[in-house]
Amino acid sequence: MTLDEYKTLFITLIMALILIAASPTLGFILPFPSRERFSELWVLGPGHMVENYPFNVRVGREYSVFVGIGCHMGGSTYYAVYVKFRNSTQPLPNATTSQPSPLPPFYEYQFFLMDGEEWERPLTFTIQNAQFHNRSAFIGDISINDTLFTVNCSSTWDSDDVGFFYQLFFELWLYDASLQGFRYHNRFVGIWLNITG
Amino acid sequence: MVKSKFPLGLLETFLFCLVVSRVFAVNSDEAQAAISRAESKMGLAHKSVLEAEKAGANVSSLLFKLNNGLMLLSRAHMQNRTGNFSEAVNFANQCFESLNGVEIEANKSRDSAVIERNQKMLISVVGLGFAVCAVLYVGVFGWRFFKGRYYKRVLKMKLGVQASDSR
Repeated sequence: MTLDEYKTLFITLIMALILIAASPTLGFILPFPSRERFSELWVLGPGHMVENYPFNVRVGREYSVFVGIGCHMGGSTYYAVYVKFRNSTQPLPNATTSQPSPLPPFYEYQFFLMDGEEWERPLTFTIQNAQFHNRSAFIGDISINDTLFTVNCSSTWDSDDVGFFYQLFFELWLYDASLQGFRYHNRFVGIWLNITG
Repeated sequence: MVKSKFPLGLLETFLFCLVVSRVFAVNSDEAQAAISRAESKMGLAHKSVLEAEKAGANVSSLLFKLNNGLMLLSRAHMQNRTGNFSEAVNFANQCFESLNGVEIEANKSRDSAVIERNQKMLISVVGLGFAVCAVLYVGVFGWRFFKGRYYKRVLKMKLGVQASDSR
């Protein structure tokens, strides 16, 4: 190696050492590239597994599921989970337009999560005040976690799948400080219920 | 006389109960107003906590307080939906009170986090200055030392070549 080549190597080495020494200070000035921000939303069966979800539901009997959220939003986030109930013809949230279901919620959870944290709660429900007439069913009330709510939801007999089908679903909303209110986070999960007398 | 006083007393008691129940009854609007008040305070507290978090403060204890408040606020919402307005007001007021001091605490945490961050940055910049000087000093002197050794080695090599050529 010539002296000039050694000189280049020396300067490169010194520059690299300066960069290493400057890295803690650069951390204060340069923004680090942020990773993808998202939230998880899940419903688990009564055994805390993705199985044995309540499906054939009898009026007056108690059933349970677990609702959970995982926060990967890069900071503390203010969530709301709205619990809604519908028959098979009523609208679900629209994932394409990010619109929530227009149905009103009857139960809700609100909570804060820090980045990387998870939240999970059991939800027990009982169908009450149901009436069945030939080919139609009417669900008057649902008890969620021992609080009774009026839903007044009717359904007609589904001869293809044989049953009166309803869906209990959960929408995830985020608090938007600029709106000073919640906005739909375009995530929902639900369980189908075949309600029998 | 006694007979005529009894129905009158009963009527008075009934009217008293009616007035008292009207005075202390809570309607939907009052419940909604209490919930809105609690929500507004929650929004402000949340904003302060977010600012503290962005400044680098540890906000886990503040989030714990906010979550307690939110539990009460959720209950207020649900009681309002079921038409139990007095309970809704009760939970909303409890939520409002549980958030007392959260904003102040969050602002204090934010300020101390900003001060701490500035101190760290100052120490880091001064440390960087020293480190750069040290690297440059070692580099310059190292280079001089290396260059000297290099020349010596090259000169020795030339002498060696001449000696082999003379044979």
